[in-house]
Amino acid sequence: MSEALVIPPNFHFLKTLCNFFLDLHSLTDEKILNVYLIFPNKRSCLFFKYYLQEKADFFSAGFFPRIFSWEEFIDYLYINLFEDPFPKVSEIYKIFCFLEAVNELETIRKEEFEKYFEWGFKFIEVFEEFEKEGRIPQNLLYPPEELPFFAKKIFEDLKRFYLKYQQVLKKHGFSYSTYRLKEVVQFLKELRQKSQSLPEILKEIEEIWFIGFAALRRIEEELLNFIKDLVPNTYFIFEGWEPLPEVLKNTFKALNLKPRFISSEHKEINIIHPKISFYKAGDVHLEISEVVKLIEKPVKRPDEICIVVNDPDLVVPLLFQLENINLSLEINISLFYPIDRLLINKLFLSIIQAQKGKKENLYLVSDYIRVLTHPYVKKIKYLFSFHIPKIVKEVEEYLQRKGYLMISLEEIEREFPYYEGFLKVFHDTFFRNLENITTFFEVSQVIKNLIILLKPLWEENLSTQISWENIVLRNYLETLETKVLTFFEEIRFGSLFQDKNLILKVLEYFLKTEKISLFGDPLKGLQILGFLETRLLSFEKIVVLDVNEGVLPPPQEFNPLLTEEIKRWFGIPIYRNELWFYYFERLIKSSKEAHLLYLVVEKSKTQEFREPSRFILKLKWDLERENSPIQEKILQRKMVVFSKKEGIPKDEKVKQYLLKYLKTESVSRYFLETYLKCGAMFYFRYILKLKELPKEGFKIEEIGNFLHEFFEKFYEKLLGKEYKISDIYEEQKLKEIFENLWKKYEFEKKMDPLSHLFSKKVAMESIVKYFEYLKDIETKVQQNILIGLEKEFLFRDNVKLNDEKFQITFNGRFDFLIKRKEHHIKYLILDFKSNPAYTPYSKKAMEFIEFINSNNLIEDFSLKTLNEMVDKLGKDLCNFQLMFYYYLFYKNKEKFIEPDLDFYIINAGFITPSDIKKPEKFLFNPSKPRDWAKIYNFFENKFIIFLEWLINHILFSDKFYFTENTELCKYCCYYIPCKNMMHIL
Amino acid sequence: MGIILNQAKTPLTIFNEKTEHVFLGEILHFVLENLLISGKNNLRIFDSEEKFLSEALKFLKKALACRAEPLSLKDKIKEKALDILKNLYKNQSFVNFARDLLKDAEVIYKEVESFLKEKDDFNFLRPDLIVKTKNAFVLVEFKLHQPGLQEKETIDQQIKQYLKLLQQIKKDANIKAVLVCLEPFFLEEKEYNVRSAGHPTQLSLFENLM
Repeated sequence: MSEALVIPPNFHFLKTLCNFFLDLHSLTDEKILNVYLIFPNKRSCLFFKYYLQEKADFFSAGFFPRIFSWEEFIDYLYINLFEDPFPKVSEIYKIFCFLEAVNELETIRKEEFEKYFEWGFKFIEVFEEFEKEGRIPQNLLYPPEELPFFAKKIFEDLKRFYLKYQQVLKKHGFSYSTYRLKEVVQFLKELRQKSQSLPEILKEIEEIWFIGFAALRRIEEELLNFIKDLVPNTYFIFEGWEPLPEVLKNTFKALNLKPRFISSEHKEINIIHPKISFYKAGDVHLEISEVVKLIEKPVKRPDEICIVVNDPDLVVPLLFQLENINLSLEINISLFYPIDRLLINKLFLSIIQAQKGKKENLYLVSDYIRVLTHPYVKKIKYLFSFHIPKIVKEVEEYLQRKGYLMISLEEIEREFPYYEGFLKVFHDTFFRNLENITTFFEVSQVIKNLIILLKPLWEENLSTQISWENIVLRNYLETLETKVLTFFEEIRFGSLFQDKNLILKVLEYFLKTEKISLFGDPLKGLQILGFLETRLLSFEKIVVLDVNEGVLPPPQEFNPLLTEEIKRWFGIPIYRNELWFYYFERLIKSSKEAHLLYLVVEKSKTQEFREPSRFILKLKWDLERENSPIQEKILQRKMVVFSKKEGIPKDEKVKQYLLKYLKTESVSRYFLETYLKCGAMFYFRYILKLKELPKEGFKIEEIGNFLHEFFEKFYEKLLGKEYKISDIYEEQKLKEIFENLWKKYEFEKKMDPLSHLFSKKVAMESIVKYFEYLKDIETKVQQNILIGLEKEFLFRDNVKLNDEKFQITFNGRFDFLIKRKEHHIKYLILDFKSNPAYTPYSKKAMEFIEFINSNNLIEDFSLKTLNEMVDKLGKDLCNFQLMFYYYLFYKNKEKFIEPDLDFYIINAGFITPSDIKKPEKFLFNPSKPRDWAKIYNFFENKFIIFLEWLINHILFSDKFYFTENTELCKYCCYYIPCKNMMHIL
Repeated sequence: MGIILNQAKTPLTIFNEKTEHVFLGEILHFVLENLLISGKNNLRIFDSEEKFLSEALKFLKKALACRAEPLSLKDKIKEKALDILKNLYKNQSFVNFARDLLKDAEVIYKEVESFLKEKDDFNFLRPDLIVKTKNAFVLVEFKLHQPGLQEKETIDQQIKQYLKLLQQIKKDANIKAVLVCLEPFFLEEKEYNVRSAGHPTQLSLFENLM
């Protein structure tokens, strides 16, 4: 029985191994070149070499033994053992081989490729699970019912599909890691069966060491057992402790090894109890701030401090914080970083998105703007004499103004003929070149052209590789070149997949799932590592971020084809994080100081629920059992509760400005209404003059504008004339006006087809119904005269401001002014509202009149009095608008009402055509005729008192008050600056 | 104070850091190293162009299987590599060199990872081949193209370090280094032996090689 040499992690695994190794070998003896050392990963190889060189310091020169990572070793054997080895390909090649295999057996329809593409990844995982167990996949006679039909069909005949897949791989000459391992094992098996002499490559291996392997899959066990038999000097070194972890015991059993702990003469150090500190934090920034505090002096050696980053998104904030500490730090980063975090990748994804959204020759405006406003596009100034940000801004504003849902590139080029040079290149490179692609090769050329176009942006920075951004970008470009373009430049799958959508889907898949492999080298300073990179390494101080459930151990990606039930059926082993527990425990045991940080978020609207990892719970439990004190620090933000301010202070300068405004400008209802709604909104709009950001696409107010214009067009010839709707109403003509105007508003370009269809139908139906209503009431109406259409009214009134009399001009624009003769003559001020919810509140209106008549409005310019007044004006201030218009008309009434008229009614109301039951709603509905006198008296004498009070409030209150109606804030364009003003400033 | 990130710099095609020449050079290194190792046990591979190319092709396939480049590029590189290897075989001085080198070779080590400490600098070295004969160690270094002046200086420095490495390890051995340039073909030899007091000297080709 061979021996398994066990080195405890607290001895410093790699250094102790070095001591042991150097006791057996001299680095100056060339025989060492026939000694092979195999480690699980590249990082442990690098560290081992570092320690060898350090320990061999007394030699001025020497040879290293042959040091391989497991993957490198398998590649080495495969390449050297086989006469005609296949190159190793990435995942995507395998998928296409799978698709080709399925197509040969089942002929996939063009439209089905996409779903086979997605399921292909899952089937390949099943195939490789079998390969790792050294078996050929077997059929699953009763696949789970919930699987799609085609997936069940493949499952039922899995062996046949697998063999075909292997055949296709061989035809194309592709290999992959598990394939190579499988082939090597098969080769060695045959070699042994046939008792053939060893190939040269194996003869060269005089001694081999397998270091730090645990939880081996069946095929790996087979390989190690073969090598053990073939190479007389085979060492198995493990990292372990008493009692031996289960994963090690299983490995010893599989390899038929007898464990022996290394003698203490080789040990480098002996850490009795690592100092463990726990940190419970509320958010990642607190975690990172604490980590930075743990770096107290420059880190010289690579095994001094290691920060384990489980979430790659923490790297950027971590580096940012490290940059700000008062130390010069050298850093190595080794982890996988998702490429979808990169700005350049977002540009590529936006380009694909634009193609996916394209219909005929039209692009979605939102997609177009996303590409146009990408920071890289704005920077390609070196190509043109134009100022590109200016063009981008102009084109963006044009598109926002137009509100189209979709637009053609030609239309934009026509609109901006003077920017043709830029737009042509921009459109060709980012859009047109992808429009008619049918092959992967064509896509590769488009990507290449884009990179060439953008290359000058990076050239200088990338050569130095100083900043994180440049390092990541360089690695991104390398990934793009080696993994993406390499595949796309292969033309072999061209004939099978000539579909643009599928080709773009494949590209999108790459750009969303691929990861950059960052490798810190040369070995120096602080180590920032992914968790698996720490295998076999020992550090004086280890800092592990985000030791949370769902992060460590990492969640397994769910494959519906590899549920536990299916694995059990297939005889595929089920692992439950045993290996992760082992790695975590060895990491803690190997360090002098372990700082473990985790997040706890119990209930939050903005963050997801977080709880400590099971590793933390186990560790705490173990410490408690040992009666060791648990060092835990709770990281809390210094909470400052910002008191909510009542309003934005109003200084003398603002008051003077307002006074000047009131004297020189006319005051609209919007001006007053804005103040009534929210003082802060008034401040942003009328004092700071902040404009609302233009919005893309269709704007809801356009329907209102359309209705306004429609009725204006319908009525324009009737101005000043007597008419009856029943006489003039012609459905055909109405439809004609409607159609022409609808076309003018270009709604078909601004809405999706379904919304467009419904909106048009609803608008037309509302108009027709409104006219039917008008025809209905004409049984009571003797006469209609349109006396005003979109008419502006002004009135100059005396207002006392600060004990001084001023004349202020008020203005308003009425949609319709109709003289309608029923029982009495009525003068109706009507305003169109597309939203049927707008309604006047008659009872409140009369109460308001009573209130103003019977109260002196005192000089109380508080928020409370303002709110009380707003409440009296009805929901959405509907009554204010109508009263204000009423007031303007009343003060101008002699222009419209004959002086000798005994009795008449003036009323103001809303036309809401979409309210089919009651399209006209009026402010006043008094039951007694004498109430009209009270109303007229109010507008003659009292309404101005209210306006005076309101203007005084605007001028002399201490603050621009924040509204207490938070519903208003939800859709307010000043929400963000207002929030800051309210709580911080 | 700031941070310095030490990261492996990945070469990029768009910046001409990874050219077809580099690719071709790496492929030919692999082929020639393996070809000479193979020739140690079977000198007959140098008997005819056919035998030489057939053996070279075997390693060429393996070299290409180590790479992820697209098939079209590999085909192109394979063709170029074969052309260079054909020309190389046509050059009698290469065949003579190989035969002379291999006939006395006991062991050949390729891509030998090693270290050399000079003052406080620790240099990691990786000579292409170290051939151990009965009386000497011969370092073989391949270059695809004739180096320019600046590059030549770097190569000289590199070879000097290789010689020093072996001299430090094998203090009593005769150590020689041969630079094999493929396009245009030439051989350049440097010697570092116990008699020459620590300074490499350039020799004419094959003089006292073994």
